[in-house]
Amino acid sequence: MQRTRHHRSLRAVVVAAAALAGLAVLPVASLAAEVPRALRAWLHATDQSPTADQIRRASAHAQQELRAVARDPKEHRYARHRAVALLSRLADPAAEAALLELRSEPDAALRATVAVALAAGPGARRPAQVIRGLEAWYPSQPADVRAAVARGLAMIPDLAAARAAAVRLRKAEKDKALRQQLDRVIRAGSRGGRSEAQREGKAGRAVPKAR
Amino acid sequence: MSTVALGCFAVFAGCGEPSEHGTDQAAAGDGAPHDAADGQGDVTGDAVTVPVDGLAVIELGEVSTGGDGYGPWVPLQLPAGVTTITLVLRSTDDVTLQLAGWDQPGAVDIAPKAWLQTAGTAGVCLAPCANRILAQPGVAAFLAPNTPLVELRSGAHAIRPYAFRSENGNEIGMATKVRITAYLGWSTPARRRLALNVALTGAGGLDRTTAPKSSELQQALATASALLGVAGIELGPIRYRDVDPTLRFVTSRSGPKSDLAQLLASGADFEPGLNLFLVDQIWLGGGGIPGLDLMLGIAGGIPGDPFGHDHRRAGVAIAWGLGTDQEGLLGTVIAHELGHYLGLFHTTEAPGSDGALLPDNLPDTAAPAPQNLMHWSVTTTCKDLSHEQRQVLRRSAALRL
Repeated sequence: MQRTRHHRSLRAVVVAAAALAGLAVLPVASLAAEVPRALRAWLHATDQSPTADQIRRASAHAQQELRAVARDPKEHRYARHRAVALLSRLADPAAEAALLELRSEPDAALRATVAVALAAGPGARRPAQVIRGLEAWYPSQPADVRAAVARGLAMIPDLAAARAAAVRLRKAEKDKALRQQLDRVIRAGSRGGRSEAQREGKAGRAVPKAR
Repeated sequence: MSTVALGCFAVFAGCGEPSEHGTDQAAAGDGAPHDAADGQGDVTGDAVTVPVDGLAVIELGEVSTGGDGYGPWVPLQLPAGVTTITLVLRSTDDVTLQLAGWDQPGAVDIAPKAWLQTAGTAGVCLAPCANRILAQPGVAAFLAPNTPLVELRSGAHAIRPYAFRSENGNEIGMATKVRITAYLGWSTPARRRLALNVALTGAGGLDRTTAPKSSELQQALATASALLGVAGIELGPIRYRDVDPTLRFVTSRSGPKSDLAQLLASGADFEPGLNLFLVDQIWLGGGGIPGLDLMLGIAGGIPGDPFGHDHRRAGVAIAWGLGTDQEGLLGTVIAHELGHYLGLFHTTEAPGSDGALLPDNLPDTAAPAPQNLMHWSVTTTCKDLSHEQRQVLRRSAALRL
């Protein structure tokens, strides 16, 4: 028994030493989630937006890999936040489920990005459901995340529903800066027109008149 | 250099001819390939040449575009020795501006006069334009040459503005007024300076008193300076200014009231130099893609307006908070976005890009170059600038002696 315990301890020391040695030589990137190079390039891109199709072409398992990057504290901050943003562009139930799951991440800054991503992506497709979810989540969150929820509400195309939610949230909100931010949503909802996401996502290409 | 510029002032003042409407056009020359009668308007302002630090600034005045978006051909006489031109077109914020053509004598046109008739979009001129041109809303700048494949010739040039708006996926020509300014450069000295106004929204806890002492910010600026230094560009002087803290989060860029427009316009009273805005996050859409995406940086133009600050495209914005955990990243991103503003396009665009994006047309960046500073996916290892990229950077009118 004594010998066995000693053997186990020794093995633990060896394993720990090997792990430490490995840590010393491995670059940080190799500790992070395994992601195909093409998808990794999109995670690094600083001023380019992919379509959902480009994301899927970059990896057949993009949704799972983006979820893994977003959850991985060893990943660099921009990669994690960008993974959240790219999940919002995938427009499929699994990606949406991953975003909902990420609401429970311990990093508040990441949760703030999740709030905006939920509004910018799923919020454009199913506004009522996303607004209900954000509204229910709001009271439990710190100020920075609540501010992100308010910013997210401004992106949702159903301005009337976003406005109604902002009115309800404002009633209980004690933070002056946050009330002002919710006021912005309320004013935008009163004016009508298009949400920020609608304006940003507009577009298309056409042949100009020639002469 | 100032002697050259002063000399050119005399040349321009002396070569002016009255237009058919009797307006003096100091920049108009004999034998321009098109005259104002070809369009719906005429150059209405007096051309003024002001020597500024190795540049001549020529106000070509204001022209009107017709209902089809096309303006008149505007003549511009280029004196011998000019090595670079930046044209800046300005209109109202609801108009996107492009060049329908840019003729020059005895050489490949900078923008072929019929390119819009065959292009799928007025937004970018890809195959027909060896010299890349990109439409931009409100204020649009165009640098020539931005490739060695186009030689800038002295003599009678003519440029033709085109104004349009996007509506339901269509680009529709617009009648509007367009003011045109030309910046002429005579040489590209080995070393030039780029003055920076670092505009602080409170992102990262930085303001004008803490920013000069922030090791992270100073390191990032040193990295950017080193990366652009290989092109002979030194960042400085660097000034720090506080701007409205409500602009810390950018979530829209379309229209004059968008977050990005308000942010970039908030540096209107800054000293001469390029405005570098530090914000917390940038969420932007575009390119016809629904929704928004998180970005680390954005430039107000490719190139941006080298002088004007009083508009919504003046400067670059960097999402400060998302990159501070990677040594060298923010400095690299700052250099990348400054590179755009000074006139560099990406070396290649992302796989699957449908032509709405515009890679450069430089022979020495044609091969895949993931280590290039202007690669579309920037990492801390992206440090290279090719010989031709350095030439483009040095031609920017935003640089000073």
